[in-house]
Amino acid sequence: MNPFLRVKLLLLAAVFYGASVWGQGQFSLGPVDTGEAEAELVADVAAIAPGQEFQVALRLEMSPHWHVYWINPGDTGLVPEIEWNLPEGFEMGPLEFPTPHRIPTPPLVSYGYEDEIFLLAKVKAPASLETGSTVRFEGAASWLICKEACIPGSADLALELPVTETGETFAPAEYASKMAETRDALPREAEGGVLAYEDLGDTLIVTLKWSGLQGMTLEDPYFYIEQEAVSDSAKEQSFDLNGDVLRIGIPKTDYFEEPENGYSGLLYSANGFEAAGGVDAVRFHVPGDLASMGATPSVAGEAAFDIGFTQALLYAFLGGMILNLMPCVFPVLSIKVLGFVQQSGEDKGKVLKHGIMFTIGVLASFWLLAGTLIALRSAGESLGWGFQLQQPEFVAVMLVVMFLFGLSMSGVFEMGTSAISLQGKVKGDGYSGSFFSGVIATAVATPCTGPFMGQALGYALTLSAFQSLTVFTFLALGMATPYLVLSANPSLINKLPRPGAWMETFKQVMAFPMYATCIWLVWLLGAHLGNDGLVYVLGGLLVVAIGAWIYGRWSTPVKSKSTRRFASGLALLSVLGGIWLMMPGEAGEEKEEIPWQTYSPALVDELSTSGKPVFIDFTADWCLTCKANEIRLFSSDEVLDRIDDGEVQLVRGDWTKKDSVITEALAKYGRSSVPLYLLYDGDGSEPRVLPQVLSPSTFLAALDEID
Amino acid sequence: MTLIQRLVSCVAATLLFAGSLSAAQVGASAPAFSLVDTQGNEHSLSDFEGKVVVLEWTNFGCPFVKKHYNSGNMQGLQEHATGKDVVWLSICSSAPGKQGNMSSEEWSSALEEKGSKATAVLIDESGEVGRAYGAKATPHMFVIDESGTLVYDGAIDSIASASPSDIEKAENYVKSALASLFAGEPIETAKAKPYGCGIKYAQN
Repeated sequence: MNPFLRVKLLLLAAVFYGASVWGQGQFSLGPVDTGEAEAELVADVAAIAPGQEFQVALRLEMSPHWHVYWINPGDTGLVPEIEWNLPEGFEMGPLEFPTPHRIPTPPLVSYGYEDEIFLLAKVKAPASLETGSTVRFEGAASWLICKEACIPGSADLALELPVTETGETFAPAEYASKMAETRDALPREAEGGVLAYEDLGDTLIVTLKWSGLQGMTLEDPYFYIEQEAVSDSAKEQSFDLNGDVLRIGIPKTDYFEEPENGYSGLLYSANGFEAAGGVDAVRFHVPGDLASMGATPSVAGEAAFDIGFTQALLYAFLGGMILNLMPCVFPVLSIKVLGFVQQSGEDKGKVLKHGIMFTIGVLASFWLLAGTLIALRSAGESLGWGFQLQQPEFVAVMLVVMFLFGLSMSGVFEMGTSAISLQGKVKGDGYSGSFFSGVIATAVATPCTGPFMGQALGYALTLSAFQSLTVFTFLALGMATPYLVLSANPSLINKLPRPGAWMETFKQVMAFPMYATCIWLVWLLGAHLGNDGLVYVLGGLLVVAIGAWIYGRWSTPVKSKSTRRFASGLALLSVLGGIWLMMPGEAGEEKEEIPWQTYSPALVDELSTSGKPVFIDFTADWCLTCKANEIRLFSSDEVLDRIDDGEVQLVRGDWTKKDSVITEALAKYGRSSVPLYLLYDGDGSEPRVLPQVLSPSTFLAALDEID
Repeated sequence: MTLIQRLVSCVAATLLFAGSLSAAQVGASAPAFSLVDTQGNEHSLSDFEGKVVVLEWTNFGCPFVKKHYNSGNMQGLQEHATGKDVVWLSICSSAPGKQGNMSSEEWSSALEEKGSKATAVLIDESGEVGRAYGAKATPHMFVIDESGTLVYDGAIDSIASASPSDIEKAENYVKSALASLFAGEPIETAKAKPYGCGIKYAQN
């Protein structure tokens, strides 16, 4: 439908429904005062010439502290709208919204504007316009305006402009300069900017890549997502700028919906973007149709593994080579090749053939691995590294595995000897033996994900099947290359460093890339779990480390069998406990609130004669015994039942901060520290002092004595 | 705080498994609460064990609430629900001195005037229950099934507007959720971003 026809239809509608919205004359020229806001249609010209382009705006001037909303209103609100009735032949662009502000009303945060705003729209007059006439624009504007209360506002507004030869008049339009200012400050498209995103469960990681970010220091940055029901406007975003790539962690709303046409949004920085003419916000969007870019799943992948295809191949190759240097593989490298030499009786051609069979074995097993992953993925399974990283549970387990590898390499405990012996068990003769050696070597090596490899693999899984296979092939070739080179020139083996003390040093050094990977994984988990969650994650790692130490210290062959068995069990329990501690959600299980009353001597006086027992808990956040007691006491169902039944009244004196009242109360019982537990009978008698290490059974027994 | 104290409290924090505050989640147990109604009677969620419960966050001063009350839509929905033995609790989390906060006399006349068919109207001046559920707007609706599991969280219907003429065109998510619940079918829309006025919570 062309705009002309549309306007005609609208006019037709106006005739039919003349009495309703579109009735002429109800639309007022000039400002309309709706109470909380003054609304007006304005233009940046006082007169128009035929064919001229100019701007009109919905001007809203709000009373102090009232606000209207941006296109995504945040937690609550509605976007202002205007329904235009244009004069014949005019073309008009969409309403353009200035950079919004965050308007907090804790715990909610909205995106919107206060004071005076101009919502601009570009207009083009038809060239056939007759000079000397007057054109009339009409717009039915509606908005939601809120301070504490919210009021839907609306106004039927009109604007009349004379048509002159030149578009010039004696006086400039009243709001021309303010409109020009607004237009200059409008968010600009980040030219050449790219947006990619990755869904991490609770958090959306948006990656922006734009040359204008290079060398910038962002000041008070914020990313306003344009689509509703995506970001939780009340939660903090995190920013990590590296060169021209900015990664933003955006907490998702509880009502998250994946937008059909991808994401777009405004990156705000208080110091303005020089590369965009100094405006304080630049706009990024996912261009066009995602499917046509062949990017449906890779949008996520590109963000996480921001490397090109060639680079991925290089990484894969390097990663494969490094695999050989991993302690679980390296010692067999020369043994294997020496084996080829032995089997071939120094016949160079035969040695090479063994090397090639070995390579084919490696290749075949990597292809099998890749094929399985690709097949599962195309069958709809969200499988593969890049996808698994969306699951915090998976990341946590990855973290523990990487951390354990690191600890093992650092020498906290020994691992991998069994893997080597597994490889030693394959003693197949002839070429098939070499082939299966390659298969086994791959099987043994894959858990030893080294640096580079994870990244290359993750990237591979976001590509087309053919490209993924290529990446896997390079990985396999990287791993097989040393064998090939050595079997082509067996004499090189003599030049190869002998396994020895240097390997220990090398192994220890390789622990550090592992720890670096751990840092990355912790960072990823941080996006899922938030700052508080990280305490559990790091605490979990501590427990894992203790488990590893126990294993390394007491599970060595020099210890007796029973010691070893006990140590291994304890170590396993610690590692599992560590993982359990890290698991998201588990920690946040809803517990019923315990009805504590805050300690005051007056309250205790009153309660102690109320006929019901009163339990007083003097505690402090920094008191470990107190916390341990409380956890034990209030995780007992029996205790909770008695509390639920209202059998005992609970009073808590929190001594976390200095409090002379509590200090005095403690002194009364000869104490200068917490915990102190008092139990009043409720009949006005003196309380009994309960033991400092308080178990549920002691507590219940004391209660029973009262009854 | 000395370093030692800080370390000890850090370790204590890792030992604490309770206490991390998370809002209500669809599919999980609905947070328990006890609130006093406009008549001064106490109601706990646990009182309604075995029954389907609808929670409606409300504020009679909010135009979006007015949209659904002045049109009779909300009362109709309340009648429909309570007719099926559903417990309907309207909850007001407006802090004292803020819009929507009323004395019990004001409440009784307002409820009579609106013809509310809610089982009870509960007062949550501290905003504790509202925050526990993550209630954002008025109206913001929650449906809890017989087993105490939160099964719906979000908007009252599918068209976010203050205009009563949209009610008929919109899909009422609460009605759909109840229908699915009684038919033993999965709830198609279990979450939808609520629309309306921001809840006038107490600021602390």
